[in-house]
Amino acid sequence: MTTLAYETEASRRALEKERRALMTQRILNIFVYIILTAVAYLLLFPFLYLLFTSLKTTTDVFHFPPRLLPYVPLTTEYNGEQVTLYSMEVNGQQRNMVDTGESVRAGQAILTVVDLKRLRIEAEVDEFDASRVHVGTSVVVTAEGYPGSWRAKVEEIPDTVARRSVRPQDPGKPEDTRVLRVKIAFEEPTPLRLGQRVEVAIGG
Amino acid sequence: MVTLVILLLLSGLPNSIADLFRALVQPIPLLVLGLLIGFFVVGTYLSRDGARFGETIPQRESWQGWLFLLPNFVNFSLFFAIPLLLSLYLSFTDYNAISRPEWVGFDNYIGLLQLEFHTIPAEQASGTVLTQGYGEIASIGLGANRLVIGARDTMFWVSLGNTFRYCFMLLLLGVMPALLLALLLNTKIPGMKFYRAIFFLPSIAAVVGVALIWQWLYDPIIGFINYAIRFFFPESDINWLSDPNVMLVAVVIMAAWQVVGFNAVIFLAGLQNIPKEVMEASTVDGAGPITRFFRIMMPLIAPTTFFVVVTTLISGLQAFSEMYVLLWATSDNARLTTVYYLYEEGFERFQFGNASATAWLLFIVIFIVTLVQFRLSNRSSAYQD
Repeated sequence: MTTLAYETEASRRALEKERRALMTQRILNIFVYIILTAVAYLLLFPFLYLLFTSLKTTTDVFHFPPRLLPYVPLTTEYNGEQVTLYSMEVNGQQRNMVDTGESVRAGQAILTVVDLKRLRIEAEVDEFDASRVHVGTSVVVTAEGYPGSWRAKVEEIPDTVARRSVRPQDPGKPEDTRVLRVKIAFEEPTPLRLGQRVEVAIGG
Repeated sequence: MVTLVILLLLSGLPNSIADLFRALVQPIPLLVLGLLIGFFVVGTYLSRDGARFGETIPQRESWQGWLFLLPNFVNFSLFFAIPLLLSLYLSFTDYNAISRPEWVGFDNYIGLLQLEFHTIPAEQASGTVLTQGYGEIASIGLGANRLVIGARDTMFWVSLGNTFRYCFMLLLLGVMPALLLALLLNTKIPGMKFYRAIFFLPSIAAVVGVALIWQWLYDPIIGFINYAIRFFFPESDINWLSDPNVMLVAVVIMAAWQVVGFNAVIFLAGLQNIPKEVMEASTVDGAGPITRFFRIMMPLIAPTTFFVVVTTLISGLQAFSEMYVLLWATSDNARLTTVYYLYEEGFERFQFGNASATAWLLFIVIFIVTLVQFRLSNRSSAYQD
């Protein structure tokens, strides 16, 4: 009787030991997988970068901070077209794409200099309202985040209508209408920046 | 099948075949075609009637054998052997692509290798003692004095130094991590084939394409590498590809990235060739994992290690494309490896004689390094057989 009890005890212990060894092996395997996956990610990263860069616009490639997924081209939208900037802002500081000591190709744009005193607004006037806008019509300009408003005048009305690049605020309005890109000049100094979005009330 | 035919027809196959025929109906292709057909006709006629001229079977087999060898032999001699011998000849001339090559004997080799040694007081400038045209390549302090080593061709010695530094770093980053990876891959758990394929991927990509990707990754501002480093050290700003102190390291990291997976797979093959009985026997004898690695595995994979080290070393000694693509924008001497130096000497300054001499010196260096490796490995792989 006692021998039997002894044997069961021994076999139970052996089973326990085996199970523990299996557990250790499993945990070890998980570590191996983690390390291998990390190394695989590092080794594949240049290829991932290649793949994701192929999905970006030229402007997006130069975006800071870098990331694999393309950015929504918010800051690059100016005059309704994609402008390749070779300088960009990092934490409010202007940094150039071209670094000290680097060679520059002939004709390569390094930075853009802007005279903010001659700031103009390009407003999109619905084609149905085109007949009601005239050169010299007074305009009131407001910008979100700035108190007050500024006086301005319609300076130039183009002869052609163009595609809309700013969505209408009223979602009920049709989006496929054409617009007149009216140029508006300020009559007083403004703290506005280049490329900023403003709202205009023409004839207001 | 029908779809395939339609696809071929749509893709303009008939037109291209017509174009091919039109291109072939020209004097020279027709001549080549006629010669080929004539050759076959004469060949078959001769093979039947060679016996009439007393040709024995071994004779016939011999010239037919040479005929079979001909395509490869032409290719080998035209694009390998003749250029090789020509470069050996040019290394003894002053050929500069314009004038006729003049025999100058060993002048090119002497010019590359000539050194001079001066012992001067430590504070004295080296320019005062060096012969005109010599540049300082090293200076060793000897108490109050220092030993100045000057070289007639400073760039050659700098490039040689860079090459050796590059090889050392490449061995460090390209071989040891590969062995660790191979050990991990050698565990018998599922999915290892998948990881093996991923690790192998960088080595099948072309060097120039890979270098262009890394050029973006190394960008000081928008590159991912600096972005990751800035994550830990916000103030750091490494100009990977324009700072003379780090640009060689940058190239080494890229080269190691490319070679590490390949080396890991080779190491893995070596590890899998170790007989299971040996490992089991050592476990029974009470050897721990570390002892097993250093006393059983390392000696048994010594031939593999030898292969990996030699191929990595030779690829390092011949490194050129990586520097050429990554470091083209800099003019600092740190970018020069020996092959880069010989490229610039030959194809930018047109000193073909000097460039050929550099190539042969590099060959001698690689030969000696490999020979030393062979001797060392013969001593260490005594466990084999």
